[in-house]
Amino acid sequence: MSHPVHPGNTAFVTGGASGIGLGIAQAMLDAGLNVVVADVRADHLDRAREALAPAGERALCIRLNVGDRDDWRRSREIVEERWRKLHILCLNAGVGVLGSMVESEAADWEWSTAVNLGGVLNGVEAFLPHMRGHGEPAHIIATSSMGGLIVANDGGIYSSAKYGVVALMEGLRRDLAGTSVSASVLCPAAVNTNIFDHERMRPEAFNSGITRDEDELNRAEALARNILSHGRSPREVGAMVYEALVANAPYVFTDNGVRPTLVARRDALLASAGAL
Amino acid sequence: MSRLLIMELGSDIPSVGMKVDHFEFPRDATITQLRQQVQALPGKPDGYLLAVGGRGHDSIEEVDWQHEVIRPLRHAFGFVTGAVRRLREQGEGGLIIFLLPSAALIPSRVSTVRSVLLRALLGMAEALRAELGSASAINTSIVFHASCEGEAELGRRVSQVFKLAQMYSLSTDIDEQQLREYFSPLLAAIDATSAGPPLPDIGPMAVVYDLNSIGAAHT
Repeated sequence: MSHPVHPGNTAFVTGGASGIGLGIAQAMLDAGLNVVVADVRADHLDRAREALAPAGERALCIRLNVGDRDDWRRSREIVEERWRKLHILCLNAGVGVLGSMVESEAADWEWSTAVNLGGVLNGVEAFLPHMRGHGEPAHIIATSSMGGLIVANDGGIYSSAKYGVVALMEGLRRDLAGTSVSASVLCPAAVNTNIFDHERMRPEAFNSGITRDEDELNRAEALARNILSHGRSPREVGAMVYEALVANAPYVFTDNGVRPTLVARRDALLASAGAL
Repeated sequence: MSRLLIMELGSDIPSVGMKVDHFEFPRDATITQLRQQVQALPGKPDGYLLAVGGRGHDSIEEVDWQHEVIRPLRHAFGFVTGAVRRLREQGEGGLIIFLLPSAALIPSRVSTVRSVLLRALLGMAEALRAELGSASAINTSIVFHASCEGEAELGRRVSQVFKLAQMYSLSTDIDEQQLREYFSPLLAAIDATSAGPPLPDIGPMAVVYDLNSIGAAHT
């Protein structure tokens, strides 16, 4: 199957106005594609419009709440009206909700799951029939996480959604084998993004009603920023996604340092099968 | 004999050959309602069992994701976190068992739609065990079941996790080769990736998978 990364083709990137999404959008624009940058945050969209202005008419920034199916329907209409066909769908939008599952508020689960898993499911629902229908090479790539393959002790709500995203992309790839559409999953480790700064932008619909401790929130964000600031740059990750799309690679990782953690999970299962 | 409080997700749930009390709940129950319901139940179950079947919607293009994935996930989350809250309130230890089809590990055996739910539940189960930690009196075990497995064998393995609280109890249709086949392309993709920049020390990773803490290896 030939790949869809060609000048004149069109890509759609959710969470595309910052972080990994913006890195992917820039890589696609560099490759000559038209790119729809979809994001829920107006401030990020404003900055993305400015950053992507040199691409002119090839970059279009739109507002999209990935948890809203009506928003997705409108997005498809925009793509079909402007460029007729979508070739690359990057389901990247995500929010980092960490902390205890047991002590969590219901709203924590609802928000994380609506964006991190529901947003991907909605995107596939909105665009897969379109992508299959036009018959040209097309590709869906979703951003999961290393947390979609291994768990930590404070990220259960996040990991549960991200495990589901890995399963969806593996299944889609299997189901779509032999068709014009393929699928991959991106499992980033540390990347210099704002994913754990989202708490302050939590939509009212997912407000837990709990008054946040500002000092604690500041400390948590500072810690996350400090760690992630040492990670890969989003531009590097965008380039990795570009390479993976060209190669039709099933999995995309951003750091080989994660190997021992995945081996630990594999070995735990092998030991449970009596094979270690 | 142990008595279990069971939440069933799906129509093809295997029998575990034990006394069970069924946890009945409204389809549109919220997480808060489910937690409250579990916490308010009379009696003292020996364990809490989330039992999931393998049958699911076939078509990826004509699926109600809310019905097939999001709602059952919400039910599961409310049930298991409610159970842990209840055990903590009572100051007692206990066991939460996730009874999942082997397809949660070997995805090609079920539809993609079902696979999404099963894997998300597997992540939830592993993460709950990680959160509770190996020193906790409350444990989480994941028991995989095979469609061909008899009640006696499954009951034996469920009884065993009550004694050993191991992380995984694998059904006989999951073997070493299948596990290696699943992980091989993942590890090959990692091996083809360069090293990222060095990060600050963030402490030990993947502790929950430590071979010394996953419990008895051979079932």
